[in-house]
Amino acid sequence: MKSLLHKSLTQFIVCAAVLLLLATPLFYYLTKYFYAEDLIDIIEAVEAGNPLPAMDLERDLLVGVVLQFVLITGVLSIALVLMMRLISKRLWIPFDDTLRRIERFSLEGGSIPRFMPNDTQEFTRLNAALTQLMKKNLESYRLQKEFTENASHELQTPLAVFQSKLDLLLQQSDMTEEQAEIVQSLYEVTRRLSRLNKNLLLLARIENDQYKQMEEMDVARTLKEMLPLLEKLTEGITVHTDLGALPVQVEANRTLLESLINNLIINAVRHNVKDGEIFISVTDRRLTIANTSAEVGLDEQLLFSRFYRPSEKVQGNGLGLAIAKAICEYHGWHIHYIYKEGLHRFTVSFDKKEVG
Amino acid sequence: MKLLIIEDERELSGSIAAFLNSENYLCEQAFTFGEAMEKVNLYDYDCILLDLMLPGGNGLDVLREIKRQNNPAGVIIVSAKDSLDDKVNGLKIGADDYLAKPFHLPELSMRIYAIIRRRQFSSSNTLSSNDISVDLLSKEVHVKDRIVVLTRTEYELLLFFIGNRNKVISKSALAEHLSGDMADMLDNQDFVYAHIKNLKAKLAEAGADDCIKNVYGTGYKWIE
Repeated sequence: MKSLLHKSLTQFIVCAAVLLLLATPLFYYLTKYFYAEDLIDIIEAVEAGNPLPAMDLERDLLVGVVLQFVLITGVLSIALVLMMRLISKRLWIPFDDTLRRIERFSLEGGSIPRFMPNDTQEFTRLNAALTQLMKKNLESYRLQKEFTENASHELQTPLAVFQSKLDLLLQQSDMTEEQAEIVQSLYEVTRRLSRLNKNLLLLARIENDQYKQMEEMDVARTLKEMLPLLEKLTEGITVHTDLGALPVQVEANRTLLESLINNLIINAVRHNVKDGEIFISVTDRRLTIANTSAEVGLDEQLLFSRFYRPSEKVQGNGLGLAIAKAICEYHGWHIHYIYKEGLHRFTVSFDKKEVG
Repeated sequence: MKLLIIEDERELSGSIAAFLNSENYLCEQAFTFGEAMEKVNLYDYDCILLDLMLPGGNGLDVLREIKRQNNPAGVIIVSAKDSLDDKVNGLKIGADDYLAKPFHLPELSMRIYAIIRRRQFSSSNTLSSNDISVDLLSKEVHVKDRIVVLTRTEYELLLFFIGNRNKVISKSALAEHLSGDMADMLDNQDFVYAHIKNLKAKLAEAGADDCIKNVYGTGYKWIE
């Protein structure tokens, strides 16, 4: 195991040595025919007793030295560039690999990537630290998801006790009107509590991937079966349905699909006006639920977030649309909101590709 | 009628017993797995309420023991977990019904009533109260031999009332009984009032006494 600095220095020195060795014949040739050429001529002439040949020694020397300088600089810089490229590329391969793997990492995926084993100290440390970090993240993510579910479960029993005591209290034969009113408002509170709890539990279960059982379902038919039940809610509101003639088959979990339809319709009822309208259509592998409302267009980004309530007038715990979105994401569907021609329109497209 | 309430939460168990005792049921309580197994082995019950998470063991094992003995008692699972797996498992092993916490006592009482009625083969399939009789098979309602045509909701409402006769049933319990999970989502429970009004009108028209009494808008009571 070596450090990054150590490795790059070693590799650099080795590369430089090899290059210089390879360049040696070139230097030899250069020295012999340019730099030392004149000197050799002079020495040969002196040894042979001949007169010195005519030459511009100064110029030739200068040219030789400059040429040699240029050549050495050139060889060295080319070598440097090539070496740096080669060395860094080779040295940083494990780092690139690590990067690519963490870019693909997601908490929801739940699996920690296996990094490439390597002998560089820093990278090994980085990989170990990353693995540790991801492990801790996954663990706390899991705990947080479990916590919501466990907390919701634990709340059910005290809620049941509370509600049962109210049911008992109501049996008192000498209850006054004021007392009855108080009991009534306590009933309302328990109802809100248990609804909130149920919704949180549903969200936690979707996140914990507990709705694995999928079946082939026809959206239009499911909706048709649910409509009589929903009629109880829509009193005073005109519901227009266009369910199309063809079945819209989707692969879905029954509980979740029903919950999705429920939540969207209840949302449409809850935010409606007196004598308002709801338009439900299933066409073209899309479910659209549109409603009239006293409110104007809403922010799509905020709309699907938990506990978002655009107005204080309407009851509800602000989880309905968050649940709808979670259900769509769970199945790989897309849900969109648009405000057009005075209608708040929610569209679920069941095809798994993004629609424009 | 003898009932066994297997539930570790004493307050809840107490409420259930208090509510049901006044309906001519004799309630016994078991708070732990051990107690439950002992009672199930020693005595006969008409109906057993079974919580799944018990100190000392799993409620499903109690259920298995009941079934192993060929014990004729009806079993209603009452669980805080409300998970589909538990429900499916419980019903597969042989539970008769499943109720998720929190629930309304009148709803529980109605379910117990239905199970006991189903188990008594000798009993006829007619339910009657005051001048009204309900044929559970043909779902026909008669008032002094005059037939009354009710909608499905009104029919369910009537059964719920008769099943909880002389008890005040809260509006919440009625709404939940009528619309199941949907009631959860409703902000407004006034639809209950509308259905009750219709039911009252139809019964009155057929010549029955007015037996549905409103308790300050909080609940309703069927007086027999």
